Amino acid sequence: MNPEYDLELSGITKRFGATLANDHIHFGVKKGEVHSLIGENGAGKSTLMNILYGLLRPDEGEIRLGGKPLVLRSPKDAIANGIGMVHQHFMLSPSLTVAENIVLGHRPPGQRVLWKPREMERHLEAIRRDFDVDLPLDAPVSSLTVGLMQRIEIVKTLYRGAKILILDEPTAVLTPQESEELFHTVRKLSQAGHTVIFISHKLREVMEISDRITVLRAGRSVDTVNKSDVTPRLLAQMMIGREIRGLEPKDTDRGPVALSVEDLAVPGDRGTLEVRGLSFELRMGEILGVAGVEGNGQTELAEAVIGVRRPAAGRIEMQGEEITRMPVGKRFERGLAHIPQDRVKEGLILDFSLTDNLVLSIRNGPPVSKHGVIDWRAAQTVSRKLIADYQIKASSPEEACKNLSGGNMQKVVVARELSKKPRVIIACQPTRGVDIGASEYIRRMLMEMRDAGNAVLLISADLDEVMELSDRIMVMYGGRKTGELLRAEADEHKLGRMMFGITESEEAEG
Amino acid sequence: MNQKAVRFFRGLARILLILLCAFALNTLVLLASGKSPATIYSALFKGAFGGVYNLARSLRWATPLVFTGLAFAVSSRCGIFNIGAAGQLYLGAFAATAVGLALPGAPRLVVLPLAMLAGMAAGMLWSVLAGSISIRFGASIVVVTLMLNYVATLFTEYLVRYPYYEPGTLGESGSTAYIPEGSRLTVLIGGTNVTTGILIALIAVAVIAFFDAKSVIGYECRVIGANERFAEFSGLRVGGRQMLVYAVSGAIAGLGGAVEILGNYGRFMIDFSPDVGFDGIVVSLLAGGNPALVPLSAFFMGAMTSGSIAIEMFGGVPKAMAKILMGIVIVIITVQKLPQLRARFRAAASGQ
Repeated sequence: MNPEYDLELSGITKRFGATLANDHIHFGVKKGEVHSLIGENGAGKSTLMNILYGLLRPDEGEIRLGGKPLVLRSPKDAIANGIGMVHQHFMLSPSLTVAENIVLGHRPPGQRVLWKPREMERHLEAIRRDFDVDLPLDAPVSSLTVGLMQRIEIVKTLYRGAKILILDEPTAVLTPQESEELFHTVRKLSQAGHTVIFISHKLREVMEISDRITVLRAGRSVDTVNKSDVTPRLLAQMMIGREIRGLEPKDTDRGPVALSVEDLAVPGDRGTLEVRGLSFELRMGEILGVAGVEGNGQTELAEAVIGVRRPAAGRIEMQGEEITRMPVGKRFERGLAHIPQDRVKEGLILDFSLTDNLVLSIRNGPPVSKHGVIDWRAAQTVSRKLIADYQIKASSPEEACKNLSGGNMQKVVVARELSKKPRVIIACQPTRGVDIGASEYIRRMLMEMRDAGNAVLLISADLDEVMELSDRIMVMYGGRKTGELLRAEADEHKLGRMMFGITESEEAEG
Repeated sequence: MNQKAVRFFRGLARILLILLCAFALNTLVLLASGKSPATIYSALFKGAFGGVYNLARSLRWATPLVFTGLAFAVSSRCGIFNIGAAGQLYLGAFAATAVGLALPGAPRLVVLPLAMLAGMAAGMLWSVLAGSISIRFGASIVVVTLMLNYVATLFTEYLVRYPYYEPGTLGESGSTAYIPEGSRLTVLIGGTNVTTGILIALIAVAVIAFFDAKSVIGYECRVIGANERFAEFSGLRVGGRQMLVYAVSGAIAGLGGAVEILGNYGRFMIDFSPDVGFDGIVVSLLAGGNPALVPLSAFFMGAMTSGSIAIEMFGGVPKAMAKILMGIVIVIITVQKLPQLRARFRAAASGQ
């Protein structure tokens, strides 16, 4: 035990069946510091934090708070001991106001039954002042942006008396500006003596915000380092345990038009137009990145292009042929491929085997089928080859997809879509929730497809990804295009402003 | 192939395990009501399997259950909870009767195929109607098929009472005239009710099992059944495949009705088989939705029906005990799904 540490986890081990999710993890946090916990998906970050928040109980090991052993049976115990967590998925009730959401389900100590709005308001006001977080307390949550919703979650944990805040991948859903604001709040918290545990795999952010960094790999704690002692490259190596290769985008000649979208208008699920008058061209041999905060029409655009959502107006052409109303299957036959944003709902059947999942796109015709009869032996051979080619980690082609990690699941989707030799690829959030190793691999595959003369439309909320891969970048806001830049001209701030709806011309004026 | 065999035997073991549990629980029920399980079970088994006659009766009752079980399994494979087999069976039965009555004296080899085709067509039509309503208007298929069952039952009753009214006791008792002996299915085991209908049932199973396991269409249907949104995103013609499944499922149920009439009843009687349609659901659930396992689970259910007649005579227990046993089977199948549901609930709660 180290007296320096306010919170110390030692020898934490957690098994799920045969897998060791946490293997004797040591992890100490000083009071008032911003401590980042980084690691690939599956490294054991979530398990560790769920243990610290009382959602899971460790098989072995000890948690000490202020030098005293701490046993957490439920999140209630964690909260009672001043540990609060902000999840990636917000737990808010959209129809209630911000204030109601904050006080919901919490009875301050000493207060028994009576509802004391005055007191609560005073408490909230104090939090607002102390940490410089601005919130419209009387607005219903449904009217707020994602960034504000996250702020509510933070205030909620503070309201419940948290001294140690766990932020689980908080920036995954934010725009760069919103992230800046979040960082501002985090700094305020740490100045006020609160401890922040920041979970992320975005190294740039970790380098910006942390005092110290603990790296997890494969369930073990690799090391805890001071930020000043490391570089992002070194951290990445610690995370994946080997050198990573940088991806160098290659300039290729732009070919003929692969996909052309003209004045496209697409309704969303609620009937309102989510894409409004959008026009753009994607050429063979290029990657066109579509940046934007999620929910600005990107999903509807992708669904209209692949054909599962009917546009209200406009025209879509693929390689010179109109496909606006063509059935999905026909578009795929003509060389379209789609990596969906939600691999679980739209990209895979979890209960089915890898073979069942892999051969779907090539089910018609040899070698998989002949005269409508499937040769499962041949299908298995094909799937075995894809598993090897795409380095999918699975015990056999007959293994059910649900047993794979997120990164390997995504590789199954990518393998299926790219193995049918497409010409135009619509990739939606292709590396979301995927570990660095697999992300790097998937990005390289997309670039290889581009280098082979195919076209890629890359829709991603991850600005780093868009800037790393794209030849051109288009920004969407409110269903419209707010700008289009060559990669060389693009920088985070320009893109960030466009993502907030400030167009290029306004940019020039301002 | 090896994997498929493993899956088949795992399904087989599952059926046996469920039955074992069901019998164990049922034993408790019997003990609680002060009956001797030994006496009752021995009567049940003797009634189901003791001797050619009893065994034949089990096979006879298993036959229609193979059809309705298969009809349900086909739909459920594609994610459709089609409980319209009861109505489709009646319409198929009536269509076959009508053909049999319309062609007296025609050679067996002409009448039988025609009557069976008519039965299939009638069942198919009814099922496709339900499917169109569901797909076109987004109506719940459970409600649509359930309601259409009443329509079918009452419609056949109307046909028996009016256009096909047979003066005399036959008509008064709610039955059409008999179709000629020469237009019926051949008896397979002399002195019993086992006819070539059972072979037709097994052929139907073989065809469906082949399509399910080996064809592109069957593969597509399984994909649609497992994740419809994914199927749509993968370019499958979801609506088209679902209509095909409705058609096939209805045709099988209709064929089942035709075989009942042509093999056993020889005439259409009002509401002649109120349970077979719904027992088919249990048959399919017990078989885990696997068409290849439907005959086995249908045979068990047929044996219970057959054996329950014996326990009422010799065991002093109402034949409803067989129903209790089926009820327990359903409860066990439901309980089996609980861990899955719990896992899903947990996942939702933890926000994953």
